[in-house]
Amino acid sequence: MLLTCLSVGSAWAGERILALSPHACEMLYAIGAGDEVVGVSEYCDFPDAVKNRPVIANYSRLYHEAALRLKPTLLIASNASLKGLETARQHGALIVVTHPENLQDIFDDLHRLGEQTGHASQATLLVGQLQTRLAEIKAKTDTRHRVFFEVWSDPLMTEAGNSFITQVLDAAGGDNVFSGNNVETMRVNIEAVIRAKPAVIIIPNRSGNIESRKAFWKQWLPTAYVIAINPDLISRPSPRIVEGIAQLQQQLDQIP
Amino acid sequence: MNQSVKWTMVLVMLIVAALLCLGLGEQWINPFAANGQDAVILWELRWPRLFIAFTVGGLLALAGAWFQVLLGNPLAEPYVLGVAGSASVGAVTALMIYPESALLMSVGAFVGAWIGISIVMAFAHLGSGRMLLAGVVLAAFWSALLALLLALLPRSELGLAFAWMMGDLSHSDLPIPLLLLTWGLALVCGFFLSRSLDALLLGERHAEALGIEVKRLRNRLLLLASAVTAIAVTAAGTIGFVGLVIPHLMRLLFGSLHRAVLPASAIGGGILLMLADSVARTIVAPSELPVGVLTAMIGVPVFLFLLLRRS
Amino acid sequence: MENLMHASRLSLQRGDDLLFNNLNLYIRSAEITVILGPNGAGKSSLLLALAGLIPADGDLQLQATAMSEYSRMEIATKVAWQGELPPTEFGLTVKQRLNLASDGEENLIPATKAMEIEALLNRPLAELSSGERQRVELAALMLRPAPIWLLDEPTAHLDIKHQVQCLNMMKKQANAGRAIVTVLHDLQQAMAVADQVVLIDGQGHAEAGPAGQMLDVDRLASLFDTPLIRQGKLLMPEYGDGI
Repeated sequence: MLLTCLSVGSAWAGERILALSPHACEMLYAIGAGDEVVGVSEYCDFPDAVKNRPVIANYSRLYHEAALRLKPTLLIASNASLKGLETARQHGALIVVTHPENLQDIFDDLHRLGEQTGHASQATLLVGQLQTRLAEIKAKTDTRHRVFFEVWSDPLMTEAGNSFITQVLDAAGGDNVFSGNNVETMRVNIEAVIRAKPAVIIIPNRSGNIESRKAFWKQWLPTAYVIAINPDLISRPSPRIVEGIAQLQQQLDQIP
Repeated sequence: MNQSVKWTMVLVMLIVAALLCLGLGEQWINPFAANGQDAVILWELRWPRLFIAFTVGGLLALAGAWFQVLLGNPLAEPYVLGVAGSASVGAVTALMIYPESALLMSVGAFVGAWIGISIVMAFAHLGSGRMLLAGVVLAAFWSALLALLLALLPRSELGLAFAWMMGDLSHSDLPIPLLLLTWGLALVCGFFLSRSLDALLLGERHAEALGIEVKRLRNRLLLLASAVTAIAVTAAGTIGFVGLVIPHLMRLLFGSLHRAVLPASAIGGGILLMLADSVARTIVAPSELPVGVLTAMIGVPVFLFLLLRRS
Repeated sequence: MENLMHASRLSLQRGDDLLFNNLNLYIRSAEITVILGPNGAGKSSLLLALAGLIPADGDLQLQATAMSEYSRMEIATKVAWQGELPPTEFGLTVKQRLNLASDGEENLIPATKAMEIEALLNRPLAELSSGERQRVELAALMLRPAPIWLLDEPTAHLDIKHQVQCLNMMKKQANAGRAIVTVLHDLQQAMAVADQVVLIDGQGHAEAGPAGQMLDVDRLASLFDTPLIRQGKLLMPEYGDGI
């Protein structure tokens, strides 16, 4: 649980919120605080409504002049040391940090954001629905598969250790073959993947070369199944994660 | 020690490095008795990678040796002087114009390398200190320009571009036969030029007085060094210091004449990069290090040592 | 004696400055031509122009054909040049340096004997003193079969013994039919070897003529802007009584 209030005080409807990370954006819209979001960061792309919001940050800094012009009262960041945050705080805005590292953190942070923005009841309702759905998925999962998750193809990269992805895979019935390596995002040698003998390989469906990646993996691991999935659904700690887990579980379930 | 003993040493080193390169990795594989999965890994992953490491290392060492004669400075090296950087800028520019064409990327890298060397050459007559300084400043410029271009690239291309900046031998955008062919051609060109290159070691005036068309020779060297750097950069990204360390070692071993230094560098560069790559994918297995990290670990101390000894 | 080279109306510039104008000069076989003049007058530049290494205005003929008609390689077979000491950074050894001058085919022994560098053959150039390096350069010149030799201060860096050996070597080569053109600083040395003298005054004038006529006390005194006295056959600078 990493939700932190860096400044005291609590606020209610009429907030002017800056959502500084994609998952924060999604959380705010999911609990019904979307109308109060007046600015977003560069990679916020869900739901569609955020696309007309002005962009006032990227992953490394807050564009503080543009941000202050929006007269924000509340900033939701995933990183307390984001450059420019301090300036906003000095101008009286409240800063809340959310950086979920597991599913429970997501639920906790949804509650906190709900309380912070006056949408506590919607948040509670949402968390209840998500938890129910998660329990349903868990009940359906009987067989487990060894999986390799490809974050990037060139250079080949994966998520290892007890990373967020490893936990998401676990919830969907997959065991990350590199969960024993104590690194989160790592460059990996293809030899190691071949030797780890994953039964399933998960590739991101964002790139236009899904077919060539499938062919690539078939060449090295002819018996493995290759699944393409929207990486935003399973790597972003947003409420949609439950949908991502459901999709992943469904795809894994079809594998004999 | 006579020449044939030295050549035997180089060949023994080559075989040892090749065996290590084939055997080492995430797990040891006996290169002579691999079965099943090990055989697949050996033949389809480690052998191609060995060829990439060998040819790229050889090309970088040859480019280094040519640069040093061209600029009359034994400390000249494509990476230090920013030529690898300008080649990367050229390659990324080509990538922005037309994505996913290795050929066009090579052409871009060639043009970039050519521009990079030409600028450095304009400083060559100011003496070695100023030329190196100019090269270092240019290297910073090219890497800034590269960062700018990368910021403009779509996100899906970023990983590729990232691999360039530190060197990556896990696969090559250019086919391996083309790399071997380039290596062979570079060696042949080097052989035919070796006598003229030797004369150039006496300085331009002396070389001209000995009947060398220095201007023509310099133009040819410029083209050759650009082409070879471009191929190496397109295949494996920017890998530093091979071109500095290897020609220097080979001069210590074989003397200064290019008839021996060039082929020995073409092989020695291959040996160094095969060894560096073996280490790079073993010490943090199952992950791997960019090979440029290791060559810099070896190359920077050697560079500083040479710089210290010269003054 | 055969005319090997003929310069007419030769003029040379360094940057925008005129070094000299309108020089007429014949280089003949079996003759030593000495170039004299103050610092910066253009003596080395004249040598470079004669070697075809820098451009000059006017007409320069090598064996009755314009210099510009020849390729570099053809010039190199006819004209050999000894100039500044070559760089030592790349670790060339004496033997390798000599082999570069000789196409690797000539016998090195006579030249190394004459310059007394046999013991240095396997040493890198960087380890030698400048006198030793100068002797290596002279040996390298001696390996060149070209009929015309151009020497830029060949006795520089040398001790007395080797200066004498160097001058004797030039005379011997001239007697054997070679054309020698040399820049010298020492008037005694010039008088000892010169058949022909080129005077460059550093004010835009250059003139060539027989040694007897050119090595005149008044002429040289005004050339070097220094009082000179004649003592027997020798020309000496007048150092004055103060020392």
